[in-house]
Amino acid sequence: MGYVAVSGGEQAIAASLELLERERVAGGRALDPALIIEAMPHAVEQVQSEGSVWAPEVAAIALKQASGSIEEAVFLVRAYRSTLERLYTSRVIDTGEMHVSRHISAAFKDIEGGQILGATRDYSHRLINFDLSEETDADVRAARAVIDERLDEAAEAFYGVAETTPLDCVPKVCDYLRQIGMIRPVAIDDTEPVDITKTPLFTPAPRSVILQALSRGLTQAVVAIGYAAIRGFGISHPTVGELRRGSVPVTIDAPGTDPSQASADDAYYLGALPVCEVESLIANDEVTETGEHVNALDVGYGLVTGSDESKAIAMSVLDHSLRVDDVRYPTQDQEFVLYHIDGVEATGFISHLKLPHYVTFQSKLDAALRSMNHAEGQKEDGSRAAQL
Amino acid sequence: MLTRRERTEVLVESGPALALELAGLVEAAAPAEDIVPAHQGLVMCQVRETARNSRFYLSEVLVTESRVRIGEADGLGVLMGTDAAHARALAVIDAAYAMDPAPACLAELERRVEEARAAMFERVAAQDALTYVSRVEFDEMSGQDMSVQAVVK
Repeated sequence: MGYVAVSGGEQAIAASLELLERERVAGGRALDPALIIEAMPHAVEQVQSEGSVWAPEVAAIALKQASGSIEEAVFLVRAYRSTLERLYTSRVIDTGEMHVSRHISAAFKDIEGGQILGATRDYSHRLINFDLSEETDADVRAARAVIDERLDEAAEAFYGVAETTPLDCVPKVCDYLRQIGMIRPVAIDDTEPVDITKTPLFTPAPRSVILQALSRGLTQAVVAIGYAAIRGFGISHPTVGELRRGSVPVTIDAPGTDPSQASADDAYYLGALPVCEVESLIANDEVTETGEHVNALDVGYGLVTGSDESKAIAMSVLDHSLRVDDVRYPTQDQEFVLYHIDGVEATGFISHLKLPHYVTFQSKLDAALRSMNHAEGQKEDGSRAAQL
Repeated sequence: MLTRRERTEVLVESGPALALELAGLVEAAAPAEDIVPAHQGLVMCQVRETARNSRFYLSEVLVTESRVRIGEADGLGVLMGTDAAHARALAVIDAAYAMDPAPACLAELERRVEEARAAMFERVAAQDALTYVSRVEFDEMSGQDMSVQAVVK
């Protein structure tokens, strides 16, 4: 089979793009990206988390352009990201400085600062509220006023009687477990992180690569593989020692200063980055230097931008799984997990299957037909020989 | 005097209006020259994780950066987001703090930033108060204290 020249392809592609854009504008109404940020914050967060860049306005425009397809919007954001210059690397963010809006533990009933539920769907009924179909802007404003009034009253009553910890310095649950030796102390490791946006993925991967890949991974893939690791295709069964949601300050050193000498007081504050952090506790049998077996708790770590708690918990499970790196279980196999959780890589490869494969398919078809004809020929020869 | 970390936090978190007004005060006496006009770029966020105390890159953030000069003093303005005017205003204020001798308006800048800082703390406290309403209160049912502090003791 020879190569075939394509005629009219350019025109067909242009028409296809026109049809796509026509679908986007078919309703005759324009959607303001600011409204997408306000009304669909979790979709915007997912695009930013998987797009690996925090830029709400850009993510909202990408969602609009992609007509709500998260997969396409992430692709657009990643592509835009690649056109921008990286100006700085932040000072090392300490999540202990997180200003928390939610802070819970499944390991301890009463934690320092208290179990703060914050805004969560954990206790909501999953029933569709059909009243929302008739909701107007005025209804939204009225509802907000009523809720604000109720919360303000409750806050006033609360503050008279309860002790509170400032929400920007809430102690960590794991610190208590380190005090009693149930979590082994670990020295500060200042190994320069590897950046997978600049270095191709490789295995065995250093810790920085594993965490960065999981954090920007396809949300549903991270959650699904994390679930598999717990359900029976791995050895991790964690308890969420602490889940905290909030924002961390992003700061940079003054240009030209030596990072090892730079003062935090002299840094520039750029803004607050919303994050969700999970420290999972996994019972572990550790062998000491003297060969003694001791019980201890290992910590699985999850940190994602935005507020996706399922992704952060699953990341903490996989962090622990991948440290074992035992290929008997796919969830502990770095190559299996890290190469398949990137959304753009996975959807890009799957998507390419619908592009022309005429030559390779013809080759496979020819081989299959030849094989079939050969087998039929042999069958015919066999039956002729039997007749004789 | 506030540190640069404190000052820039107030000027970013208080929104563009304050920074633009203060930059206007500075430029009324000494106009700033744009060295690098406001433009978008990225900042990579590195985090110290708490399981192994190592560092990793979490995500990039989109920022807008501006650089200006007033006399011999350089000023840098960077903030998350896409507000070019806000970034330039931050750069002008930064240059004012680097000027030698200090401009006459510096005391006024400091006073206004301190004032905005107090307002920022009030806003944060009001938000925290709402968050605290969702704190769970536990009553001792059987006398067994299951708090993390009690377990540690």
